[in-house]
Amino acid sequence: MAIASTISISFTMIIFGLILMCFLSLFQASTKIGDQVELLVFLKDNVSAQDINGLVGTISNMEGVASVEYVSKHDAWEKFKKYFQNKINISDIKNPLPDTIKVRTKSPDYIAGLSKVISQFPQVDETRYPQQLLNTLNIMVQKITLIGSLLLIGFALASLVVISSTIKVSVLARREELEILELVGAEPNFIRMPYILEGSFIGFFSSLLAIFFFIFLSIFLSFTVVNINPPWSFFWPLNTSLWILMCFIIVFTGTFIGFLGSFISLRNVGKFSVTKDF
Amino acid sequence: MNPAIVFKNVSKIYHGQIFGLKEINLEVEKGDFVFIIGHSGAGKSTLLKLLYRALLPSSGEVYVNNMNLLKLKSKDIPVFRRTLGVVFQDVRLLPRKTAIENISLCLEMLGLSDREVKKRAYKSLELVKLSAKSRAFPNELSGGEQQRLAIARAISYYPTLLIADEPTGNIDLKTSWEIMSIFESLNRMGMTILITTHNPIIVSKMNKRVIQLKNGQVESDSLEPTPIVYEQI
Repeated sequence: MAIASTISISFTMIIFGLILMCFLSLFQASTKIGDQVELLVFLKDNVSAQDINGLVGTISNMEGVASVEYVSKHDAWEKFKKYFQNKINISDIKNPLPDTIKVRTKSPDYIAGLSKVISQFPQVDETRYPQQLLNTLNIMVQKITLIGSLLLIGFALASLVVISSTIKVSVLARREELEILELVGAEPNFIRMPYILEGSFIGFFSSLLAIFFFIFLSIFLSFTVVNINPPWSFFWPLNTSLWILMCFIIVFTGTFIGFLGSFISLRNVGKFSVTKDF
Repeated sequence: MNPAIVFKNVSKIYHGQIFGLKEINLEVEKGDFVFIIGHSGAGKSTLLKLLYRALLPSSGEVYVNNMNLLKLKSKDIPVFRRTLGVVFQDVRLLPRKTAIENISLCLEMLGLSDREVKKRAYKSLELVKLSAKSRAFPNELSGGEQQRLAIARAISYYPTLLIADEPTGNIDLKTSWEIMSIFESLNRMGMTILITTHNPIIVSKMNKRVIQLKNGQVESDSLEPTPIVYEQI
């Protein structure tokens, strides 16, 4: 029975893990995309080098700023020319580009606020950032979190039903033993404890099996899918901290569901030996 | 006197119409040795089940050691059962535990130390002359040995009241006498003994108080130890 329970719970935890993995991949993608978003600060003409340095220093010290990069109008124009040298003739055009400061934030949430503050500086002509992309990302993250959480909770409940039914079969098979223990005066918790420990251990062990499956899956994918380019590289591979989080969630959920499933299926302990009135 | 068991107008009705017991009134004093006899369906097992609170009476009151079992809360049932020694009709041993483990497990519930558990378990096996089979599983024991193991488990708590439901039901006469001699020595040690049986020879020769049930009612109660003739059973 323990083997059947372990196999059944392992499969359940694998499906649970796959949903969790999709959720974490989407979450990682949205975070990665968000991290790539920059706030571009265009400076007015004729701002002195001293003012620019001062401004870079001020922005660097602002809350939520991860990094600041100054690109002079000269460097920007050289880059532009290099990129378009064989495509259009730009040798006669005067450099139209402004001095620019590229600001990367710790989280996309900071961008709108920083843009508002930085645009007030006298040296700043205007600030730009992909407002629509950020809004879309924000909505996407919220939706992913909501749908992912609902799916995971739903599946955890389904797993609970599967596991408690599996354990219930094992309890029913030993009903006579449970009844004997009741008749000789065992407290319900004394009877339940070994089964609850067994259920928790089966949940824990099944989760470990599910994790082994994911380790093999990731090794297999790392060999078969060698060159991953954006946008897929945003999703896969998961970074180490998300892997650890995923393993932890699977082990915790599996063990907890094993514990809860046994507890639910043992709720009638204490009543087996008392015949109900007809 | 201080009775160990009191039944006051106890009736048990199954399915709302079938009487298991009908208006039973009886008292068993502490230290008594009592046989309950009667045909199948007379109400013997129902009476015993009421005593270890596997059943509740439809009406009336049951007292065991001055405890009103109707007022017993569910959470107190295990504690109450540990004050009784019960030998069940079908022995009810744990099949996956050895003889010594069957006894030890029950003693562990009392919160005794491992040493005390072991000591008491072996002592109980000794009393029923089963020490040599302490490591045997129930299916490796004969019917009589299983019955003795069930008695050893029941007396391991040092109960003041021992209830046995057909303890000689499926065993030969020689083994039955061995078991009866165990009960008799326990009774001499002060334990109240209540036994249901079908066996007329044993009841006749043991010369103890005999309560005869018929159709859920007390047909006769010898009150005093009396030899009984076979025809009555």
